[in-house]
Amino acid sequence: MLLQKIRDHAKGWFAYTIIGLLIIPFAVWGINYYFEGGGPTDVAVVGDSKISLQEFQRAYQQQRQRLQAMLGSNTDPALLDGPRLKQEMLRQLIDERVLNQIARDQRLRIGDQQLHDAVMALPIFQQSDGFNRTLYEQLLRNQGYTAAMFEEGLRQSLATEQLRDSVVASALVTPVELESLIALLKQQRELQYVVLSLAKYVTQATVDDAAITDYFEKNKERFFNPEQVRVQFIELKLAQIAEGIVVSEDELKAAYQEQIAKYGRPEERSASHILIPLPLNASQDTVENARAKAQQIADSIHSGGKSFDQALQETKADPAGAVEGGELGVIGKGMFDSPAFENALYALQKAGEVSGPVRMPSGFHIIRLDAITPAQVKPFEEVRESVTKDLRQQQAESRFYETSQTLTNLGYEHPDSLELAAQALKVPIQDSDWFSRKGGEGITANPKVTESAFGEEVLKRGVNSEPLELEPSHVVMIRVKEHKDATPRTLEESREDIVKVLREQKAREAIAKDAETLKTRAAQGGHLQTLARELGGEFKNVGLVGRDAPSVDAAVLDVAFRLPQPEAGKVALGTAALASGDQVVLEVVRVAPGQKDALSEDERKALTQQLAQQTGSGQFDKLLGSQRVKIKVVTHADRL
Amino acid sequence: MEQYTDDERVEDLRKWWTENGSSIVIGIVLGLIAIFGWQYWSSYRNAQAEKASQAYDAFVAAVGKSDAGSRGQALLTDFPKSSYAVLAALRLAKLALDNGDPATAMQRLEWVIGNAKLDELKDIARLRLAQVQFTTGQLTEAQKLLDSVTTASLTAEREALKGDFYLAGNDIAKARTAYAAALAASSGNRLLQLKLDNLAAPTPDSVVPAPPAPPPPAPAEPAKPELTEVAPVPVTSREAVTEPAPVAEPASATEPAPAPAPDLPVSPAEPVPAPIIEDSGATPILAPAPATSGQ
Repeated sequence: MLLQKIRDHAKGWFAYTIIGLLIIPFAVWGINYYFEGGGPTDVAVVGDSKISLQEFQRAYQQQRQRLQAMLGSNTDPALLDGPRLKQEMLRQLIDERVLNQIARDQRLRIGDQQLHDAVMALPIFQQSDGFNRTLYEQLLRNQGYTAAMFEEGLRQSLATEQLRDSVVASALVTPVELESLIALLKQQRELQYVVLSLAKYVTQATVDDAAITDYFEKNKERFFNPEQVRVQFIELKLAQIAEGIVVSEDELKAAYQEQIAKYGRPEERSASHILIPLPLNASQDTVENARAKAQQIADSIHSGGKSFDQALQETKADPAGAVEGGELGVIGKGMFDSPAFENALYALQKAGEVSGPVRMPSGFHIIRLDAITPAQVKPFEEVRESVTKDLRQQQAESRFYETSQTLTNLGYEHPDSLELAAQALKVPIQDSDWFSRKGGEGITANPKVTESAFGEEVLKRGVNSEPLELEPSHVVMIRVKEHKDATPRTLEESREDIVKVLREQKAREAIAKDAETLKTRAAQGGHLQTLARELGGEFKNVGLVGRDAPSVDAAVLDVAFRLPQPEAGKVALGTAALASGDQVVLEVVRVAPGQKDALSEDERKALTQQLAQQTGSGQFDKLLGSQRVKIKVVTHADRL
Repeated sequence: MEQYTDDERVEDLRKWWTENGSSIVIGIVLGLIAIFGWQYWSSYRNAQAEKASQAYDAFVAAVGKSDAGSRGQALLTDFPKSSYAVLAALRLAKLALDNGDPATAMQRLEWVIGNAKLDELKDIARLRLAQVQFTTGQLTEAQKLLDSVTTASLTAEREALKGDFYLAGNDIAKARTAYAAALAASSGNRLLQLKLDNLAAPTPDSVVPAPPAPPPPAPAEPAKPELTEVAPVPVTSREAVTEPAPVAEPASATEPAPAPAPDLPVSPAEPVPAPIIEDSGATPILAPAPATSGQ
């Protein structure tokens, strides 16, 4: 009845309007939209594809782990968690999408065969015997990919690589460009200059008392004696504990028996081999052929048809395939990257036995065990010293651990004094000298100590510090004994510092004035050499120098190579300030372009390649940038 | 609302079917043909694209060997409409130029300009064609071609080339403007900075007549207190080169210290042996510039 009613009513314009309204959302978003729960979790929309928050998070976490592994444990956490890394990651993901869309629109596709070859060649899926299917599946599972997802992603990145490689590798460097680049890079300029030394001006500068008082009055807040403390502390050191340990003869013997393996020499085996070599990227067929051949040789030896040596001589003489072999000498464990060889060798029972074919990166080996040198054990007396040392170290470590536990507990249970801990551990309480936040001598030079001593707990509340591990096996616990606030300094206490500051100030003013004078007079036609003599500077004529001449200060070269090029009969005049505060007035007398033979043939090639690479990747980046504007990209940075 | 009997309803349906049935069937058949046809067509196109892709990979693997040219040409002939033909043509242009055949290089690049579907690739090809035209002396054509590069993000590349062309034509002022524009668009490219710095404009303050050489020692006569009054006499730069004199004591600062006579034959300073580029000089200049803004 209900259906009948709907049917009766759903007629005419009313029904069509309803249906029309329903068509619109389905036509525009499709039915998927209703199942996927819509867009609010997308961090970006790139053209017709979306980057979900989940996807972003995965990429971001992977990048974080990579960075952490690369930079080690002392990474600045701000670098890893800050918004910059997230932004950078989002930009990369967007670029990837833009590239994928370009590749799709341009019909750049990777066929199954190409995909297969690429997967086979990925080093991460390789083991000693080439591509390993189990490893492939396992690695994908660990990363949370299905094979289909991974392969689709790989297809896309291979296709975009084709585009990138083509644009980058085809960048042109014409011979004319190379010549002018060499002329520019290897350009030389003929220089002469005067150096005014700041140090000299500082020694000549005089400072009067009025200026000192004046400076002191104006900058009083800068002159004070810093806040200081003295601390009491208990110190535990592994080395000290080790000294106090006596080990008995019985203990030594017991330890020797326990670790007898350590004091022996391991078994050694020497071997000969027959090798059917294979190139690293050998195809499946070649590998199979080689395997069959190796098997055949091994079988002929095992069946007693030939001796190993006969087989070796025969195969070596065989002109069809180059076969190598011979004596290898002693093979220790871990000598090869791939363990297959030693596993096979150590699996053989006695000298003269021959293995089956063993696959190594270099090819197939057939191995003969030549000799076994049995493991040897050193007698107790010979290793007594080292046993004693080891045992003492061992006991010291465990005692150190115990005492530092006791220290922690007692220090925490009785926060108002170190006495109890000191008595229990039979160690003295030591006193430090005064020190400021910058640290002092001995243990107070350690930033952990200063930080703790001036920290809220120890300084304000006056309790024992936590045990501070200054370095491995060196622990202290401190408490503040005395404290001095920061005090303003008197004029006399500050005088020395002020004189230094004022002298330098004056010297800088004077040297700047002299440099200006020097430049003006040089512009009026004075020769630098004469002027240098007059103003007490040092004149240098370095002749023609390149951009990276080691004999000239980099700041001078920097200015010299940015001065206008003088025509004949003129000089270009400039000033440079060196990092030391010295001032330089310099003249460029002439400019000589870099000569063709300034670079060797190899260097020219390297330079060409570098320039082409830079030009090409620049152009590709610009292509990507331009497409990023054309393909509509919406980002939601607030959802990161 | 009228009421129908079941018979009337069946009758109505039958009538409606005879009127519309054939057109509905035709519609469905046409629809099915369209769907399967489209599927067939796109899988055919994908297969073609994959064949071209494989041919392209084979061509790239052959670069550096003798059959690279023929493989590339075959790709262009077999798949002229594929984007892989464009990618191959770009590489073929470079191969041709490296083999000292700018004419072929230009042909290849012209082909890319005519056939690429991406505007950016066309513009990249235009930039490269201009480079080649310039080497063959077609300066005007090259300059004109550069003006037709319109991709906004390639401004730096375009202006840098313009700068090179003006400089070759000895038009320093225009070259300077072009380099400055390129630098502004590239957010700090060291090579461009170097090119621009090399063309610093002279000012009355910075470029002055070369001074005369310092006067010879004159122990008998009292020294002139004011050296600035010596009238500047232009001399050629080479004459001004002298050996460094010992630094005078501050007390005698106003007296000229003994200096080598100016007419002594002084050889021009020896060129300093240039360190090879990998060491310190050129490498940082060509180090990848900070990623340019993507706009």
